[in-house]
Amino acid sequence: MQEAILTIKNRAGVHTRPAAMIVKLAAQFKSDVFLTGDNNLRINAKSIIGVMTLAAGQGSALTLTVDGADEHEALVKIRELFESGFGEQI
Amino acid sequence: MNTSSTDTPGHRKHELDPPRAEEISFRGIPASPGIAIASCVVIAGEQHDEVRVVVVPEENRAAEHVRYDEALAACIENLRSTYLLAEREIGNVASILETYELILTDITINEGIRARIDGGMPAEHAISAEYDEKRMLFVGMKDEILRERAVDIDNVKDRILSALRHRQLSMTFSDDVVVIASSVIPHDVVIFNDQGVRAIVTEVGGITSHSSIMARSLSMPAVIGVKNVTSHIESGSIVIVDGNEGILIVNPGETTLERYQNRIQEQQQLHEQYAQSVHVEAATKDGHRVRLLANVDLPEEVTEAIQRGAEGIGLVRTEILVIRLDRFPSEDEQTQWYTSIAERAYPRPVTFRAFDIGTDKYISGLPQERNPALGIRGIRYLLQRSDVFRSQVRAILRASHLGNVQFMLPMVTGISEIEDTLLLLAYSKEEMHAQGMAFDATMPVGMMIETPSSALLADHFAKRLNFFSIGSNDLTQYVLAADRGSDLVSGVYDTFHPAVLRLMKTSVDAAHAAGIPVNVCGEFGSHSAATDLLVGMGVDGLSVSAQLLPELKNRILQVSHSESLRIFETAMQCARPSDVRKTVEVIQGNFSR
Repeated sequence: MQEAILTIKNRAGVHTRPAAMIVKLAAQFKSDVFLTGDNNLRINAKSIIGVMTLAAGQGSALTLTVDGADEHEALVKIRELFESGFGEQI
Repeated sequence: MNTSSTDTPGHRKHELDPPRAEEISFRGIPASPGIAIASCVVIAGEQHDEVRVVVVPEENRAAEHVRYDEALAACIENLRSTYLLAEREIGNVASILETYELILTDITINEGIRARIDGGMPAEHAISAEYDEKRMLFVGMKDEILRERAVDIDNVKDRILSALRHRQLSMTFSDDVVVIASSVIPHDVVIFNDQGVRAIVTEVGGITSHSSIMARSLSMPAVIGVKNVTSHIESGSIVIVDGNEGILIVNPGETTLERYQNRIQEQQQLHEQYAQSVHVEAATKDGHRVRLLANVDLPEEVTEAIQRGAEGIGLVRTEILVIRLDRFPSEDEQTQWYTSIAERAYPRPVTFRAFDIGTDKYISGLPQERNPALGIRGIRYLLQRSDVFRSQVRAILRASHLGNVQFMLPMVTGISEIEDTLLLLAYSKEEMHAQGMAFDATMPVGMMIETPSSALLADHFAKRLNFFSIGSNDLTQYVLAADRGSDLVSGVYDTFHPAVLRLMKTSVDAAHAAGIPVNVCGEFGSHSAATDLLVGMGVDGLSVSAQLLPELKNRILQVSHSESLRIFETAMQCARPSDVRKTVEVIQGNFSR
């Protein structure tokens, strides 16, 4: 199991489009991928409903937890996505 | 009427394995008149607009999983084909559809639905319950964009539920079948009609539900409220649907068949007889004129209505266009449709009612409300969706150039709704004038009297408008606080209630004081015991389904105006609906027959 703290960089936060990007990326890995938000709510990052309910705005921090065979690669790729601000204005 | 056949016992209770060809009769509620004899298609399974909860027996739960799987697959396939199309044209739509697919395939939702099905819920309920629960997560959110995801979840729910329904409905109906289903929505009825279905039988539904109205306007016999019927009948059995009496007979014997074939013949003769009175003016025997109008939903019905003696079209429910297309039609599409109706009726007047969207006339994308009958429907919806309303107003005006078009507003409760609408009309006229478009500058504008406040303030409304039309079904529902579609309160729901009649009278008096006409366009207009009351109340016209016109005219011809005034006065003294009925029946028994 690996963990990382991710910060939301883009102005609009994790709205629908970034949420879809996270879910599609997470679904590519065999590992379980979870995100824990400010409110200590832990959600399955492969669920769009889950990711959207995080309601994560700009500047908020999320804990990424990955567990499984490809956990390292998953962590790296997902961190990259967050770092890029989901390709949006930062 | 005797429902049992003469050769085998009727009213036979359900047996697990009934011997073939045994005649069984079921009694339901007559919802649309006419008789059909045909083989049947049984559509089992709960429909999603139904609140009743049933527990699926354990051995059938696997089948519910399969139904869900198939609906899900169909829904995704449909989404993807739309997606490919949309991606080429509009990127934004494509990303919405992509989100929809992610919601459809969401693990938590799917696990939730599976668990609910395992717990004994039918697929429809499992889907509804799960999606509604997920939806609630978004409703209270601070972020507006995320709050709107509740709408996406609703949309996806509708898609999957309709996919589930379509898998049932897509079994291709050969012509000449009777559909027996747990429940149907108006949209289903339209599809059935297009496919040549002869009659409908349902397990649930109140008599004034829009599915029944739709069946009547399409002249499709219907019997509703036949409890548990889908589990008692197999597809392919020969059935008789008697929409006059509300009876369903399965595997009819020789004698029964013959009896009903005779009855079909008798009805045809009666219709021919009515046809002869088509050209007689509708007036009481002492010469008081009552205008007879028809309610139509389709251009094709106009000609038939006129053939049956309609002096005009008293109600065109334009929302049928939206229901049919499952989207809002463009201004041009509407103009074409309205014009084709106005042309067919010309020079007779046609009253188009603005889209009455909401409650059971649900379309995709509407917010889900706890109490839709008291929610955003009719004029409320239109004034919020000014884009939709404006295109309808323009289309109606464009169709008005022949000079026989009237425009009517549904669900009005306040004067400001009328003022806003008149402003929009004035603005649209100016705009169209500047664009050089032809329209009737003096097109009459009226409103439905269907809420208590519209009746109570009728004097104020009458000063601002050109006509009233009493929607007796909704007026009854709102005055008596009784859901017109619920069979649990069907005993409370009664248009003969003195409270309802008093409000009708208030509106009629207010209209006449202001010099404008008032019609009745609800079910009440065609009720065989209501004719005296309505004539006595002073109603100027009655608008009913085309097929009921000849019968109604015959009744009016037998009524005495002076007598009906007396009947109404007596009825207005009554405290109970049953007393009103008695008054009408006693007097009718003494004088009219």
